Amino acid sequence: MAAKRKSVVAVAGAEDADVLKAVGEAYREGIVDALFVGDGEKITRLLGELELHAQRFQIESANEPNESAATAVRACAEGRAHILMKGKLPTPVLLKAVLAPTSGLRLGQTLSHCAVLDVPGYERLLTITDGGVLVAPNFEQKLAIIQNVVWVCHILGIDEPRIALLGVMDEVNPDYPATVEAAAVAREVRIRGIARFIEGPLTFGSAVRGLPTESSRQSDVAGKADVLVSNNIEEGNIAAKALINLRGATFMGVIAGAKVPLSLVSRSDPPRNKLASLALASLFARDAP
Amino acid sequence: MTFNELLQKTHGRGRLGVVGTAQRITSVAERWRREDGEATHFKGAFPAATDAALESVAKNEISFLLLNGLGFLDTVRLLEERVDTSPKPLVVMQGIEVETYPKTLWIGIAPHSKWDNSPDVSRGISMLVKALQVLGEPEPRVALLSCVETVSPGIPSTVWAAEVAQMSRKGQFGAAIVDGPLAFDLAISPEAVRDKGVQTRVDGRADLLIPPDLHTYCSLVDVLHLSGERKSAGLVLGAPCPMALPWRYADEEDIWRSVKVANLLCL
Repeated sequence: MAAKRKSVVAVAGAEDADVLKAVGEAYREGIVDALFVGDGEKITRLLGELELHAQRFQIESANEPNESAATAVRACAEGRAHILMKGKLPTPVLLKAVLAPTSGLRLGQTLSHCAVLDVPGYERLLTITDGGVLVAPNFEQKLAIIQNVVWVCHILGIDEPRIALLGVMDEVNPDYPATVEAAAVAREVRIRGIARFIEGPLTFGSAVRGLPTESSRQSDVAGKADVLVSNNIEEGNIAAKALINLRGATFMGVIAGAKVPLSLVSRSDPPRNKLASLALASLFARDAP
Repeated sequence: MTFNELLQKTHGRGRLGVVGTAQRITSVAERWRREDGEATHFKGAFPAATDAALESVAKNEISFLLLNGLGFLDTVRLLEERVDTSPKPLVVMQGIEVETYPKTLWIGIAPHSKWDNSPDVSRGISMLVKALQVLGEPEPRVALLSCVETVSPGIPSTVWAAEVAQMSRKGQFGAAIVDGPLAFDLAISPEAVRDKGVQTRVDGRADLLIPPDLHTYCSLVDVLHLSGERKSAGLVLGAPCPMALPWRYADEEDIWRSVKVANLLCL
């Protein structure tokens, strides 16, 4: 068996001490190699301050955020890098570079964010999507979000993820149109064969704790959901951050839907979350065709 | 403010009306009679019992209510059909204490109003602020939640929050400190505020969280109920009297707490 090649992470806008520190840590742990794109001089200086040897990494200079993004995207498209990571530049700049028609990274799908959470007391990984990219996904975008998260689950080793479409109640009720749409999305996902175990609407509580004992409904998802699909970006984002900040969940964030995984590490993420995000991304990169 | 502090303040005056058939509801009614004052249990089907209770409220025989038996949205819907509160919306709030936050965290919304419409939002927030002031927090810190802390036209909830925050700067919420948009971590973590270098008067020490929509409210309250160590209390504001409306995962102590806090709101 051939030795596994280490994944290379291309960091767009790498002139940021926090990001360099996170990647440097992942490098020391043997998780990744790195290509840093951005202000070359500053990157070299910051690496020095972090006691990382600049010559161990590839560095490509770029003058401004758009150029940084394009350069890092090109490295991924050419196969020189396997994970794209956001450094010090606005997220939309990087997403735009990925979605550009000539980027070579498009799969013709929608990009969506997955927050993979290890929640103390919950016996499986819980992935919440999309709390990071699509603001108010429509029907078709929800299908794409689910397709993307199924891919993420496969990489995590979950072959048949149990997916809940979140709702304000467990029943379909025309007074709450989102509950009607959740049921329709679930049906379409099954018809198209995107996933087998999907139900909606389910409240957050029912999805992770099970239906009330007085309920006679049979469910393949309630109480054992692997995935929660939120109704909008706020619900997904706030639920995930509440689990991280108040329930001690460990978080790995990835944007799925392009040919390479996109890693967004937030400045305020604790070091273990940054490392977990890179570890997850490297799993993806190895699995890529 | 913590539940322990609140429960020490309860005055125990007030006649409690109870709607619901579960055994723990009966237990709570008995406990109120034993420890505090009078309680009337309205039995039978939930809508009919609620009607009877509301009649007693109208006749001044009951000063506050405990409702338990229907889902929370169905209960709010039923109340909205029975009582006209206009122009004020009916507002719900949940107080939750978890071991990872040093005080009671309240979360409030008007479930069936146009929450993105400023008249309903400003009225609803004013009602929530007033409730917290009655409970003993003269200058509540109120965080308007979104997914980011910057204002961006592509994310309508950030524009909504900025608009409400501006009302606060104009003094429209009195002494309350209302700020947003704030990502969740910036609302509840002073460290996150420091690390991200964000200027916010809430300063990671929110008393009250205002989610941008009902989906977020429901999921957030469910998340905070996941902890085994949590304590909670649920209330309805804007109805003809204060009402205790415990969350679906409330245990008997949470129901008791809801009753005691609703009692504090009886002026």
